[in-house]
Amino acid sequence: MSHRSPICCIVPEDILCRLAALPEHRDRALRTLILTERLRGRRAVLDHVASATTGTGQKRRTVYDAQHGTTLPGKLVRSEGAAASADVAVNEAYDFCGATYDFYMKAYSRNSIDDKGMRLDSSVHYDQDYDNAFWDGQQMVYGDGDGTIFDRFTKCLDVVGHELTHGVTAATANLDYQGQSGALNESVSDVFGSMVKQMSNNQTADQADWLIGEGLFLPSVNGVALRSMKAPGTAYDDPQLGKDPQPANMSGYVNTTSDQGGVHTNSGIPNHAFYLIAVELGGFSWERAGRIWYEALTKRLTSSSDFQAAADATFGAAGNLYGAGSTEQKAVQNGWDGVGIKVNQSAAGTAKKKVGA
Amino acid sequence: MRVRFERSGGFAGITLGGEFDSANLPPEQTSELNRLIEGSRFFELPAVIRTTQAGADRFQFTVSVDTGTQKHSIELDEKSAPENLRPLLKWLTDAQRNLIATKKQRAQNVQEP
Repeated sequence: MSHRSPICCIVPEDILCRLAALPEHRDRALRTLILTERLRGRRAVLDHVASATTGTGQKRRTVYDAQHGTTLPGKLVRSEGAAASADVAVNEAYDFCGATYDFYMKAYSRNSIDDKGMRLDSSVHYDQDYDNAFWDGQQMVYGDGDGTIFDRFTKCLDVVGHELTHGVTAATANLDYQGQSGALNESVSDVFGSMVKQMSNNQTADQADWLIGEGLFLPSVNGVALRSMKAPGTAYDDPQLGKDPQPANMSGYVNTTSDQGGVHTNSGIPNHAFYLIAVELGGFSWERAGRIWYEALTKRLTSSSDFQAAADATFGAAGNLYGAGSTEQKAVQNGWDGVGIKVNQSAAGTAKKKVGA
Repeated sequence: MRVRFERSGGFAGITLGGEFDSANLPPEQTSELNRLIEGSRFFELPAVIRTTQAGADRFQFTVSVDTGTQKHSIELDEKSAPENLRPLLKWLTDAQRNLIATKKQRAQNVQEP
């Protein structure tokens, strides 16, 4: 926690600390901080601002090779600044992690998962025929696929963005991984994962494909991707594997005990709401729609938030960022309307803000 | 003996599941399955094995075994899977995947006579 001081400054100390984390403002912000700290007679001024400057704008990535075992993290194979490996999975994990870090820094001035420059650890070649990628609470883990249905899971930038975002969610709203809050947790990972890909491709909302995991299926599978935010339920339809089960509207909400209450299924609903909002606003999705989602995730949502709470929180965030009745706030309302959720404006107005976020 | 198996969740959220009946399995597969069930001490496992620290995008499993004299069902997340249960989960997962691969192969052969 930052120390609050009764001494008044024109620019509050916490804002200076945040500015110090931005390369373009760092020197001036630090000089001001050091000066004001000296005025207060504090000596350990550099310690005091250390949290804001650790790893400032610097990625710290490490990639491990699990060597087809399940012990994590495995053998260190590439750390920050090291030359590329001969192993494509190692380089994908490294490069895509970097692109995701850059996305959060450029779009929201967020310095890594914890906003304090946390090191980004990834393990590749996890287990044998492992058809999955996951966030284990501390790091990202990728399998090589099974050779029948799935290719290697490091292949897609949005998959890496999705996994890293699970870390961001854990560090912020910490949405329970169960039922609607779990489906929101999943959706947040798809939303930001997709935007990482859009920024990397320099695509506006109407140019983006809004697919998650495009190219992850091997050619024998009849499907373009694992999920579609633009048209949930249409990403694949394969005679042996089945059909994409995602609903695009509350009317199709799936009640199930599988998959923690359908967290990867019902995520289609908030995914589609975000898509509708981003397309209505136009331009780069991370600039306005994404900023609204980021504000809601980091300041308004809590571990038990459901879809209604997300609708209210994003509506409130849009009002806070762009003004009540703004184009942006109306787009948020329309987007949730489009998936069968009516924003509760009074709840949004009084939405409880998380303390200390 | 009947074994019901479901694997849900994971990044893809695609559920694999099915039932294995020893009456329809080759004898060597039945004996392998028996060996893995015994090795896991399946009937002594708690009905629910879960951690709240499972992270995200991990697999969820349900396994039910009915031998005619003994019946037991368990549900668990991948992270909490006991070491001696893992070979059984792998066998069941591989068997389901092989089934899909075989069906795909057959469909392909039909398309290309």
